[in-house]
Amino acid sequence: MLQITHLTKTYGDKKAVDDLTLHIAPGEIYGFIGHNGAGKTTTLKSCAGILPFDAGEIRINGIDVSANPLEAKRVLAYLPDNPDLYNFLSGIQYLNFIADIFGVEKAVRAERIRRLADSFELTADLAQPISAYSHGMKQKLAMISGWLHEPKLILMDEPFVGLDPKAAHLLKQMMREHCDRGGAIFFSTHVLEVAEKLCDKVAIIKEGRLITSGTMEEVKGDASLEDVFLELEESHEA
Amino acid sequence: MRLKALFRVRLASLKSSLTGANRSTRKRSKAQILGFAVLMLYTFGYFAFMLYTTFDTLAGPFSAAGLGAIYFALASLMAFALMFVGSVFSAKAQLYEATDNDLLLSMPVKPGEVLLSRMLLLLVMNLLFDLIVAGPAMLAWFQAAGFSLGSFLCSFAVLFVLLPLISLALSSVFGFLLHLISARVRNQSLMTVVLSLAFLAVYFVAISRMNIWITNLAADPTPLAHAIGGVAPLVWLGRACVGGDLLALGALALLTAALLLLIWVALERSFVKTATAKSSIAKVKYVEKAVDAVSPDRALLRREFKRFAACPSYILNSALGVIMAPVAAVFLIVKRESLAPLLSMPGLGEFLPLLLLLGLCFMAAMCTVTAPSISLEGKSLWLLQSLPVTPRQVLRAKLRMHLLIAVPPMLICSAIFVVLLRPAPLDALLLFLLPSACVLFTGLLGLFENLRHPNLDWINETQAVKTGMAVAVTMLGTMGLLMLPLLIVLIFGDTVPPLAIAGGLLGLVLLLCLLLWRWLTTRGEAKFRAL
Repeated sequence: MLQITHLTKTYGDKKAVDDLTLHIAPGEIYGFIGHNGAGKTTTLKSCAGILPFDAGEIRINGIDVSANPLEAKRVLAYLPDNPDLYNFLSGIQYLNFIADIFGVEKAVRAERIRRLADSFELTADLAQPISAYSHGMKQKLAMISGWLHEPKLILMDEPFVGLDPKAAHLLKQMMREHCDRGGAIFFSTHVLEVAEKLCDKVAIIKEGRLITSGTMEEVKGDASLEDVFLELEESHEA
Repeated sequence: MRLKALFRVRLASLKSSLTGANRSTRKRSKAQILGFAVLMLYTFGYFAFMLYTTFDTLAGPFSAAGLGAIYFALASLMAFALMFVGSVFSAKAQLYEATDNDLLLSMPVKPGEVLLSRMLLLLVMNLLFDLIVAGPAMLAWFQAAGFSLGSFLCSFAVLFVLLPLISLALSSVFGFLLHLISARVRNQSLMTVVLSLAFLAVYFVAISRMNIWITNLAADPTPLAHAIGGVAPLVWLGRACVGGDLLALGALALLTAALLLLIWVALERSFVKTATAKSSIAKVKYVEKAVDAVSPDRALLRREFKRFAACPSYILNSALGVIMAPVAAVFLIVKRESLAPLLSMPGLGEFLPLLLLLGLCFMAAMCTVTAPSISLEGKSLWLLQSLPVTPRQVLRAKLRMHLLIAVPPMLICSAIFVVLLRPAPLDALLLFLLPSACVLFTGLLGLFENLRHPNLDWINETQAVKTGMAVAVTMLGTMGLLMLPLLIVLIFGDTVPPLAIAGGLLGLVLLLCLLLWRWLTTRGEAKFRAL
């Protein structure tokens, strides 16, 4: 579903991502872990077609992101860590805008908006301007918009930040259901307990370079993900 | 120390929005900085010179009649009006609607210091407006009445210290009231636009009548002297300026200090509550309705219109020409009787249609809807970059909105001009084509400039709309282009037919449009992607 091959992205002289290769298959929830500034967001933004990169290749469902960005973007959803949405629109206007861009039919969008907004308990607030939403409400709206066109691949940057426990639980369920239907999810997180319980596979990145990746069992063995992460971080410092 | 740091942040944000310097742009070259400084000085100098000619007309008669105090009272009123109108809406946005409210209030900083740093920036804005009026007023007076150090120092203290402080106090309190009202009104955008247009209407009526008032005042200043003589602070103000009356200066300083203190105490005590208050408008509960699915291009266009309608400063700053064009057309209909003799006047008659046509084009130049449109994407730019739409679709939607807003009023005006002037068919065609071409040019130039000078890190929308370099360059660039025909008329007189001048201008505008469109669809798209 997502093939990142020898991805390199530099900002000036600094290599934010250095020769990164990752393959994410349909049905997988793939966690992306690393310290602040490790290159997680840069990788996710490159996959989403937001950031151009210097070398390597990214393919989504077989589509080259650089050569055919529009086709690639049609099958993915990207949710950033800080959901800066259009404050001048109401929640429902924003969802309809996203549905129009992705060409979701009227009846289908109405059903999905109803179902997703009810699940996140946001239906009553959909007429409110987004400027009146709290951070968590914006996060929920971004989630609904991400699922609205039923993308094959969902890219999420720190998706659990700002969500209340109920919404976080719902999101985990939705992530699993999405992957059970053949979709894939690639997301970054600092919450290692969540990654440990939720992810099928995990990759650890440091200073732009991949330290380790594989199934959860391969990466952590009998230890906790937190212990493995800290140990790997230290060993690469030494 | 903390206040200095807070003020520095405000200044940095103002500087960034003025110059378009942000994370996505490289460091400006010396030539760019110099060019920007020259542009700002030119704008400032132009308005200052216009006001100097006005004050120069008044200073002589007022000085001869011994009415220096009235002259300074009048100058003070004009400076105050400009300062107040220029800063009252900024006061609302600057003092209460900055996006760093939560950040600053969470820091070990007294709320009063946050408020004070913002008021200091407003004071700087007031001083800049003040300089445009008070500088020429003082220059004209001392040329006419002779220079005396005492009078200079006193008038400087009044015009450049006390008057901006009074304006600061009153604009801050009005900013506070506007914020309170808008928090209780559902359609804030409409309310702000209506209020602003009311301010503007008063301003334009005053400007249109200024010539008559100034001529009458120069001929006989006594009625104004009687009127102003009844208002004690204005008398003190005038006396302090012209005669170095220390008692009057002291009284005025005391009055200013009392006013500032009173307003400061009221605003400082209520600052946290006001800045953090949630809107008291009743929540609208969502009721599911049938929606119409539209194409991505229409969705992008709708989004642009929603943003435009939601931001009063965007409407007022970018679409003033659209508002003024029909007003000008109605004015011409009302005054059509006076137009007939002008049209038959030798030397002027043949050029009048060209002048009216250029007037219409100047109004088109004042429609700069696209110029801040990329900056306004701000932190939500990621959405357009991650959605399956091309940069060309995004830029086209912005241009379409610009054309849909500006072209219809221009066409209506052109039709009215054609009916009133009854020109030859070719002239009539130009009357329709040239203003619309100017609208297209302004739209394309706005996108070009905003892509080159984007400001995505604004603290409030007003900052992106009002202080961006792209807006100034777009407006002045178009106006500069429209000066060419006037220069040709001035240099070559009636040897070049007006039709040829207008036709040549149309050709030039269309050529520039073509070049701009080429740039936008090649390098412009790449620039948008890299923002």
